[in-house]
Amino acid sequence: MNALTRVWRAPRLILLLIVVQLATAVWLSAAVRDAIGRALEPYSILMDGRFLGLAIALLRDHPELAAGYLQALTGSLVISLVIWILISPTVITRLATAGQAPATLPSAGRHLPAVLAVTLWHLVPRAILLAIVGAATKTLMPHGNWGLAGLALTAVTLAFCTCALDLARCHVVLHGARRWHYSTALRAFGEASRRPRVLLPSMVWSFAQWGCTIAMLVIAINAAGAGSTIWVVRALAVLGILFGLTRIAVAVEAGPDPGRT
Amino acid sequence: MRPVSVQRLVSIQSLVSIRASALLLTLCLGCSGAPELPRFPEPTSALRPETQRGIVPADARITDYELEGRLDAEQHRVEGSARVTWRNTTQRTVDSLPFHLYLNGFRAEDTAWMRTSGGAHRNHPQNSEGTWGYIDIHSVQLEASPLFVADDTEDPRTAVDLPWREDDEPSTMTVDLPRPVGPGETITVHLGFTAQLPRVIARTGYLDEFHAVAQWFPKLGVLEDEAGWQAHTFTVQDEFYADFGNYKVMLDVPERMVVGATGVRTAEEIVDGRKRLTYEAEMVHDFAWMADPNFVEHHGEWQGIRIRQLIQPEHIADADAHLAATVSAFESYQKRFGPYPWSSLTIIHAPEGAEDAGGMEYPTLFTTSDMAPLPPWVRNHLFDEKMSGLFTTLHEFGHQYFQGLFASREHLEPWLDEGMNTTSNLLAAIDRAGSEDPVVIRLLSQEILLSDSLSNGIARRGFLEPLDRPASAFRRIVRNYGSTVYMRTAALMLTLRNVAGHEAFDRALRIYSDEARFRHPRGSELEATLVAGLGERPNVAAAGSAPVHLDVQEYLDQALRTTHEIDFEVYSIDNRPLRGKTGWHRDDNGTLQGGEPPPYLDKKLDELGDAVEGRVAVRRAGAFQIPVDIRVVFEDGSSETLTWDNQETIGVFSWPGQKIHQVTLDPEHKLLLEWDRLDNMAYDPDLGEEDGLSRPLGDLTEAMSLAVMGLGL
Ligand SMILES: [Zn+2]
Repeated sequence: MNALTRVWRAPRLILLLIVVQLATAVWLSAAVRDAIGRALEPYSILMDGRFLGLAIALLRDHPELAAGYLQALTGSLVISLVIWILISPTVITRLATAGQAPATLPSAGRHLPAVLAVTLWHLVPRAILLAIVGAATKTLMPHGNWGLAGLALTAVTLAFCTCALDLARCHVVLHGARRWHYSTALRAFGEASRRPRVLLPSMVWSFAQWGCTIAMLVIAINAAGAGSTIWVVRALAVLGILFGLTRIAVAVEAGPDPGRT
Repeated sequence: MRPVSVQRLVSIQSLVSIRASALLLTLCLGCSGAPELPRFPEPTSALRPETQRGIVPADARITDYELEGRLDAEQHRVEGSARVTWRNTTQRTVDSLPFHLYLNGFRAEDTAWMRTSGGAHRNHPQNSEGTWGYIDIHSVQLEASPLFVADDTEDPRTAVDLPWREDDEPSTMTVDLPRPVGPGETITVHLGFTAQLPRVIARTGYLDEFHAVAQWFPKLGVLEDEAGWQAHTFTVQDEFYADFGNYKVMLDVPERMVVGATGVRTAEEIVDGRKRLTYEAEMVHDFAWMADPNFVEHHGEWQGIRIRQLIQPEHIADADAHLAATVSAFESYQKRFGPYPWSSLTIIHAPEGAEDAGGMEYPTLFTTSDMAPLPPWVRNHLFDEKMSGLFTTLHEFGHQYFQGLFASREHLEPWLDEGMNTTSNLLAAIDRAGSEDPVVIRLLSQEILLSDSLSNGIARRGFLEPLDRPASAFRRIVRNYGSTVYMRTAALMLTLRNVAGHEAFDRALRIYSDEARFRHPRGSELEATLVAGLGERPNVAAAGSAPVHLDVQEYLDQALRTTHEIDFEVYSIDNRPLRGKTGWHRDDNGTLQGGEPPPYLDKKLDELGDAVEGRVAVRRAGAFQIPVDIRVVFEDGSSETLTWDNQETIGVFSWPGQKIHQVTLDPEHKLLLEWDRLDNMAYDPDLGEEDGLSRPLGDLTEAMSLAVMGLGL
C-alpha cells in the first residue's frame, strides 16, 4: 500500500480533522467579526484601496479588538498543537491499520506520553540544526542580506527534521522503539538521511503542506477588502490537511528502520 | 533632528523585525566584491556658481569662525582654538558676548539637558561608564584692533585677556567686553578650548573609532534688535540657533581617519602619521565633522553639487538608494523652495551602536539612518516600507532648507523648523511618487497611504497641547513632541493645502521661502504669507455648492494655538414619505375643508415613487470649525456634494424626491487633521449594508487561524 492509499482508506479520520480545523477557525474568527461589527456600528467603511490603513485605525481606537485578534491566533496555535501532537498516535495507528476495522484505535491513546517524550527529545537536535544553518547563512550573508537560497536551505532543513520526527513517532507507536530514551528521536535523524526513498517523498509532502499555508496567507491578505476568497482559503486548508496526513503516511509506510540491528 | 516614525504603525513596523528570523534565512546572493564607485572631485568653492546659487544677501553674513581642532582619537578629545569675528548689524549696543557651550549639557547629571532628558536621548541612556562630555574654555582674548584698545597705555597690537564665566547652566557662558560694541562695529575674539566628546548621545560623541564631532566649539549667540542677545540654555528638545557666516577650519586627525565635514575641503597633507585637513564653508551657521577609519566613500552629483556619502562597508549596497532619494529631494526642493546655494552635501551613516548620532542635520552635512534590512526580492514582492533609512535621508535633507537656509528659532518655534520640514518632506514624497497620496507601506497588494499614516501619527497625542509653543514646553514624559510638532504641523499644513488649493498654497510657500533665505524667519511671517497668498477668506465650496468661505487666519489660530480637534460624523440618515398638504385647511370663507388622510398611509416607501424625502443630519463632534464636504449618494445612483460651514454643531439637509443610499463626510480625504474617520460614512440603516471591515478582517482572522493550524508539527 502506498502512502496516498493509506490516507484515502481513512476517510473518517480525514473528515474529522477537516471538520475540527475548519470549525475551529470559523469559531475563533466569529468573535472577531462580531466585535468589529459592534465597534463600527452604525458606520461603514469605503475601501477604495485603504483597507489596511482603516483596519489599523480601527485597532488603534479599539485595542481590545487587537487583543481579540491575537487571542484568535494563539487559540489556533494551541489547537494546532493539540491536533498534530496529541492526536498523532491515533493518526499513526489509523494510517497503519488503514482499510481495516478501527478496533485498535482506543488503545492508541496509551502511546501519547511516549509520543510527547520523543517529540521533546526531537526538538533538541532540531534547534541545533537550525542554529547551525542560521549561523552558516549569517556568516556567509551578513547584515540581513538574506536571499531566497537561505530561505530554501532553511525550508529543506525543516522538512528534513519533520521527516525525522514522523519516523521517530512511528517507531514509538508501531515498532516498539525505546519509549523514553533520547536515542529514538536522535536515530531517526540518521535514518532519514540514510533512506532517501522515505526522506524525499516526506519532504515533498511537507513542502506541499506549507505551500498551502503560504498560499492561504497570500490570497487572504491580497483579497482583504476586495472580494471574498474565504472558500478558496478553506479549500487550501483541506488540501493542506491531506498533504500533512500523506506526509505522516510516508513514515508509516516506511516501516521499521532497516539499518537497526 | 530625526524624523518621527508614524508611531501608530508599530504593529506593522514590527514586521520589519522579520530581521530576527533573518539570521535563519541567509546564504548566497548579493555580496558582490567592492565595486568601482565613481568619484567626483572636491568642489573648489563652497558656494555654487553665482548663476545657480540663488540670492545670497551680503548683509546676512554676521559671524565668521576660524577654527582649529586636533583629535585625540584615544581620549576622544579635541584640542581646539577659535577666532570669532562678529559684526553688529543691529541697532543695539552690547557690552558682553554670550557663547553656547553645548557639550556642557552632557557634563553632569544636574545640567538642564540631563534633567530634561532624564539622562537619555531617544531612549538611549547616557552610558553606564559615566563618560561625560564637556567643553572647557582655557582662554578668551580680544584681538587687538584700532577700535578695541583696552586702555590708552597699551600697545594696540597686543591681544587682551577678557573676563568670562560659565553661566549657572554651564551650556552657556558670558564674556565681558572692555567697551560696548555699537551698531555697525566689528569685534574679533580668540578662544582656546578642550572639547571632550561623550560616548554617542544626542547627535554627538564617539563610539570606538567613530567620532561625531558636533557642537564642539564655543558658539556665539544671536543678537536680535527686539530681544537682545539670544543664547538659550541647552535642553533636550532644543536644537541650535546661530547667525550665518564663513568658516575656515583646520583639522588634525590620525592618518587612518576618513573625514566628512561641513563645506568643502581645500587642502590636505599628511605629516607624521597625522592628516591635516582644511575646510571652508560659506554662509552657514554651524560646522560639524565626523571621522571614522571604517567609512567607505560613495559619490554622486546633482547639477554640479557633489553628494558624498560616508557609509559603513556593510551598508554600501544601500548607498545608491540614499543617493536616489537625495537627488529626487534636490529636484523637489529646488523647485518648491528655491535654489540650494552650496556646492556640496555630505551624508554620514553612523555605525551600528551609534544610532543616536544618526538622523541629525548640520549645514551641508547630515547623518541618516540605515534602511530596514530587507533583501530586494522581499521589497519587490512581499513587504516594502518608505519609513526607515530613506525617509531619514529625506527628512535631514529637508533641514538643509528648513534650518540650514531658513534658520528659524527652533527652540522657540519648533513647528516652524521640524514641523515645516516634515511638511516639506511629505511634499517631496508626493513629488517623487507622482501621487498626492503616496504609498508608505506595502504588504503584498495591501497599501498604507501617506494620509492614513499621518492620521495615525497625530491621533490623540497630537492634540494634547497646543502646537505653537517653545520646544522646552513639551515635556518628555507626555511624549507628544513628535506627534504634535512634526506630525500635527504637517497634517495642518497639508489640510490647508487640500482645502484652499494646491497651487495657491505651493505658491505662498515659495514666497515665504524666498523671503526666509539666510534669515531667521518667524512663524508669524509664514502665517501672514499664507493669508496673503490664499486670500483672507477664500471660497472653498465644492463645485456646484453654495459659496463657503475659509477664514485662513482663524484656521491657523485653531490649528496652531488650540487643542481643537477636527471631527465630523454622520449623525443620522432618514428616508421618509414626502409631506404634502392633506388634512384640514380653511377655505376663503373660513370653513375647514378636506380632512383626507395622507396618501402614503399603509404604503411602503418603495411604492411612493418621487413622493419621498431623504434627510441627513451631520454633526461637528470636534471644536475645530472648518468647512467640510458632504457627499450624498441617492438610491438611483446619482450623487451630490455640498460644503457645510458647520458654524453650528449639527447640520440637517434634505432632498425632496430622492432617497438617500449613502452619506460620506470629507469624501476626498482633504482634512488630514481629522484622525477619527471611522464615523465619516454611513448607509441608509434600512439597507442593512455591510460595515466593510468586519467581513474582511474576520476572513483574514479565519485564514490566519487556518494557516497556523496548517503548519502542522
Ligand atoms: Zn528634524
